[in-house]
This record gives sequence, C-alpha cells and structure tokens, in this order.
Amino acid sequence: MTRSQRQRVLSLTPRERLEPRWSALGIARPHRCVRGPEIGMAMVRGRVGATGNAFNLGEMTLTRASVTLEDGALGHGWVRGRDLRHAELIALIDACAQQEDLRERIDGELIAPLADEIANRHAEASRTAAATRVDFFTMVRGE
Amino acid sequence: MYVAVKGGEKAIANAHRSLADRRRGDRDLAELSVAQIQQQLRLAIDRVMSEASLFDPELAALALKQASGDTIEAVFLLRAYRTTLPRLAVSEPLDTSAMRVERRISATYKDIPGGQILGPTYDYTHRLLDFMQLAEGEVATPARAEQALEHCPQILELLDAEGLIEQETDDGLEPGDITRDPPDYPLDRATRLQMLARGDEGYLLSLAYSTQRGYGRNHPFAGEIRLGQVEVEIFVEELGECVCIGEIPVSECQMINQFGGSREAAPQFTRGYGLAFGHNERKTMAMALVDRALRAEELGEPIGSPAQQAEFVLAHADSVEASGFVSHLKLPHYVDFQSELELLRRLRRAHAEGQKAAPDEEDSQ
Amino acid sequence: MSMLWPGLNDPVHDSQRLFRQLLQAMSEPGTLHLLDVAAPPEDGPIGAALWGAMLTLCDLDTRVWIARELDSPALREALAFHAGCRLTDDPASADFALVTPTALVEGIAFATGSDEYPDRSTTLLVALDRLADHGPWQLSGPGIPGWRRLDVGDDEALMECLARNRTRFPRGLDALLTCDTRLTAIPRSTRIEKRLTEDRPCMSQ
Repeated sequence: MTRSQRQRVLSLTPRERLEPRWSALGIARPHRCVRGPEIGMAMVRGRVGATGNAFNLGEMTLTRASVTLEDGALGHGWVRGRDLRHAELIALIDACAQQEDLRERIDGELIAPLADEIANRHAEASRTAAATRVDFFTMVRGE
Repeated sequence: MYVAVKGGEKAIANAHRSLADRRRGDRDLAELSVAQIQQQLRLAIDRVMSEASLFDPELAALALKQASGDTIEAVFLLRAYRTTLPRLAVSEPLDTSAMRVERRISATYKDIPGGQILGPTYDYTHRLLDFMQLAEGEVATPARAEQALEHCPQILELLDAEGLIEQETDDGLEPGDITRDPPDYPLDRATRLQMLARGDEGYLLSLAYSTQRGYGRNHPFAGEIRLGQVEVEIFVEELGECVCIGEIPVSECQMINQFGGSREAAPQFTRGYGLAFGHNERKTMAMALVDRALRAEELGEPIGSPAQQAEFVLAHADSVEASGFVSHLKLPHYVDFQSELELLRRLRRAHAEGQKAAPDEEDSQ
Repeated sequence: MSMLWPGLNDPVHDSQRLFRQLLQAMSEPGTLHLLDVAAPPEDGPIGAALWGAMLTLCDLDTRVWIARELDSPALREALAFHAGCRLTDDPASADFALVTPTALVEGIAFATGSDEYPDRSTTLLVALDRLADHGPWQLSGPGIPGWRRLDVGDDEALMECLARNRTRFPRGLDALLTCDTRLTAIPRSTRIEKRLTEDRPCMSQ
C-alpha cells in the first residue's frame, strides 16, 4: 500500500472512528511535531465544463501536521477541516508505517478495515440514491 | 472637510447586548446549537459557504447562528474569518466525473447511462406547508435499493463523441485568482467563473431569468445537473504525489445552449457551466446561464443585454462588496450633508430672487 | 529523510513578532536588530536572521530565487516544507532573492518594479560575513535622523548596487542584510556614501 493510499483512507475516516482503532493497535511510537499541527486553507479548483481549463472555485479549511519519530522517520498528515488531532494522528500513522515491522500491522489491522468501512458507507449512500432512480414505463395507448 | 468626533461607545456596547438578547430570544426555549444548524439547515449553510468562498460547514453554521439567520451577514462573517488563515495548498481540479452521485438528472435525454436519479430534491413537492413539521414527528429512514448505482458518465460526453457540442479541453493555463490579483477587465472565463461561484445567488438568479425572458436569449437546455461527493486532492511536495484530504459535496450544472457556426466551423451546441460547494442547484443553474451569456463576445453574438456585460455583471455580483457599499450610507455624513444643505439654500435664495425679477420680465413683453 | 531545519516554534505569534522587527528595520534603515529564532543546523552561510526572515516572509504566494552559492538540497527541502514557497530560476519574477554579494557583482537582473507599481520588485535577502555599525558606509534619508554608519565587510559591489537605487527611484531594490542573528535594512529610499574618516555615530543610536 502506498502512502497516498493510506492517507486517503485516514482522511476519509472521521477522527472519532480512527482514534480508538489506532489506540487499540497499541503500537504508537513517541513522536515530535516538526510542523503544525496547523489550520489553513486549500484553494479548491474546478474545471470549466468539467473537462476544460482549471478555475478557482473557492477555499476549504485544511489542517496539516508533520511529525518525526525518534529514529528520524518523518510522517505527514493532511485533512479537511480544523481538527488538529486528526492531522497529527494521520502524520503519526504515516511515520509509523515507514517502519518495516509496523507497516504490515497498520495496513492489515487498521487501514484495511477502515477502507472496508468507507466502502460500506459509500455503498449505502449509493443505494439510497439508487432508490430515487426513475423507472420510466410507457402507458398503453388507448384506441 | 472632515471633522473627527468621538462618542457612542456606551451606546454601541449596549446595542450589541441588545442584539445578543434578540438573537437568543425566549430563554424558556432551548438554545439552538451549532450542530443542530449544521444538520438541519443544510441548504442555508451550503449557500453561505459558496458565497463566502470557504468550505467549512461548522463555521458556516456558527456564522448563521451569530447572524440570526441573515445569510448575507453570515457570508460576511465567514469571509472575514477566511482572511485570517494561511493558504497551505491548491487542489488538483475536481474530477466531477468521479463524483459519488446523490442526484443526477438530464433534461435532454430520457434514457441515460446510470439513469435519472432524483436524490434529495424539493422538485415534485407540492409546496404546501407541512403542518406535521409543527408537531416534530418521527422521520422515516430513506429507502435503499438492493443494488448500488451504476456509473454515471457526464451526459455531455455523449454529444461530445458526435462532435455536436463544443469541447472543453485543458490547455494548461494557470487560472487567475481574484483573491490575489484584483480583477482587470476584460477577464478570461476561468476568472469569471471564480467570481460567479462566489456571487450572490439572488442576483445571479435574476440575471439568469433575464436571459430567459429575452435579454440575451441563449436558448438553454439543462444538459446535466448533478450533486454528490467529490474527493479533493492536493499535490504534496514531500511525497512527490497527490494525496486525498477528504471529500466535499458539490453541485454542478452543464447547460447546453443555442448553436453557432461559421463558414469554417460546422454548427455546434455551445455550453455554460456552473459549479458550487454543497447542495446549490439553483445557484449552479443560474451561474451556467450567466456564464453562457458572458461568452457573447467570444462567440460573436451582439451584446445588448445586462447579463452579457461582463464588467457590470461581475463587479456587482459580490454580496459582501455590495452590502458594504450600500451599508456605508449609514455612517455619519453630517458634514457632507451640511454642505449640500448650504448649497441648496443658496440655490433657493437665487431662485426666489429670480421669481421676484420674473414678473418685471413678463411686464416688459 | 528527516527535517533538520527548524520551523518557527509558534508560527502565528513568532512570525508576527519577526515581521514587526522587519518592519522596524525597514523603517529605520541601518539599525541593527537581533532575531531570536532557531538557526539552520548546518554551519553554512545562512544564519538565524536570514532563515527567520525567510520563514516570516515566504509562503505559497511568493516566488523565491536562490543564488548558486547558497543553494542546497537541504535548503530547498526546508523551504518547501516550512514555507511552501515557489522557487524560480528567473530572477526578474522573484518576490524575494536569497543572495550573497557575489550574485550582485554578476549583475543579475532582478525586478525593480515599474513607475506605476514600484512595489512589484524583488526584495534582496543578503547573507553577509560581517555586519556591524560604525563602518565606512554612511546612510542617510527617510527614517534616519542625520546619518547612520554601517560596516558590511569588504563589499563595495553590494553597496554600489544598492546605491544605484537613487538613479531610478521610485523603482529599485530593497535589501535586508543579515549576518548570523543580526539584521539591518537598506530600502531604496536610503542614500549611501562611502566615508573614509570615522565620524561620530548618530546620537539616536
């Protein structure tokens, strides 16, 4: 699993879901923040007509953090919104996942089940939308 | 001449206290929480975020609470907060084709891949007041289909394949940003769209309506309207790749408009585009119509209607600027007014003297 | 990979405090200011004052040009990490240029702004081996009661480059001169002359 794949799962998971699962793994290493956690913004871009030139749609709040472990491994976290703890957790997990001995457990016991949760949530939303799909039928014409 | 005067601190402090009291209302009723506003006044929040040009539902809910529900005041509050934050990143352009669709309809084709999906809409409601809501009854959970949605491609791609509609392609141009460089007219389409995206919905709606009533007619069809969640990605230098920072809801409208052509180019449909944070369907439709109207010059159409005049449309679209300038009239203009009074009295004196002289003139005729 | 270059401990308040110092330096040209900020780890030419000024001034919206002698992968990485600024190879498009006096000898064409927009110019952030008051360079002009003296080491080229500002005002280059933790400013409005005799320093200092 790549770092960006992990980051995606961690940013799409609400912090209240992430924190207990991460604690339950019991593998957190001591860390130090080297940047942030800090709140800022990202300028969100769209495309003219969905496929054309980029344009600036507007900004969104964004929180980022970077941490180092004692052995010098550097981890980064970026997440929508203003939750400092969420960004720091993502950075910590990113840093820990660079340790050979931790990576397998993080991917197998944290990221994979969270990815399943996200997929289930998405599937449920999709089925809710699908229930509002119109089934057209043609009325039988009378004489 | 300006004369500096001071005073009113106590009156202002008490006015703010009075305002807070009005905002809170009857203390016997439970206070509205920001979380409740965020959950239950979603469309108001989406409008505030879109016009404030800052996506953050919790802050938008707070702004609405603080503003006692005054949308324009809430937009102002969120805009002001926005200026305190550093910009940490610029996103990759949103891929709305990959949207997790909640609603998606087309008025141009009945049978479309993925289907017509109504989603959470006020369309087809009867616009009758629902007195059940006074009783605070239970609300049923939404219906869920057995199967998830199929892929919903962009409808305009269907026309694109036949070459019946103009294509929107990316030439890699870096878009202008009016929050960094003040607008310098004429503006390119990307910059115009940024200004329309943060423009006041009521204003855009009226202009869009004017184009339909004949002032800059461009014969629109709603090619596709979609609403759903889109993942936002930023490029992270340290990782050398793009990462997802979360997903946000957006509304998109692709308008198909009257065709143009020339001796060289075969006739083709033209397009207008609207995109906004959150559930903002009416806004995106109005935006798409005005976007198309503002392309008049580029498409060689006669310019005669208000909605086609870029500087007029764009310079007056921002509710924060507009309300600021209108509201400034409430500030003391004591001295200006005194000088006008002075002038008026002089003119009236001259007029009265003229009147006295006038009968003589009549006599002489 | 490990990020050894320090950021600001408290980004909001530290950058406000440092920005205030930079303003003070710019408004009183030739006064020395000590920047209390963590220095880069390497014993290189970039001292605490220069690094602190960069962390304060550079962000996602600024373009930075770096002179060859100061350039290093560690610096680039640290700037991208802490400031997020864009690096440019074109000195004329740079908002800030990180230079040594050598770069100025080479006559690199930085932006000097236009008569309509004199602010659209490059601000020089200069790394010096020596920076003290009581030197041979006499500064006068706005923000200086009488005159102030400055010692920038053996750097005729630097001071001649800045003295040229007077010939094209309001266009020109503003400079922040740094050495270790010390910083002073010479904006384009300052007159620069070389005095061989040691005069009494300005009483306001």
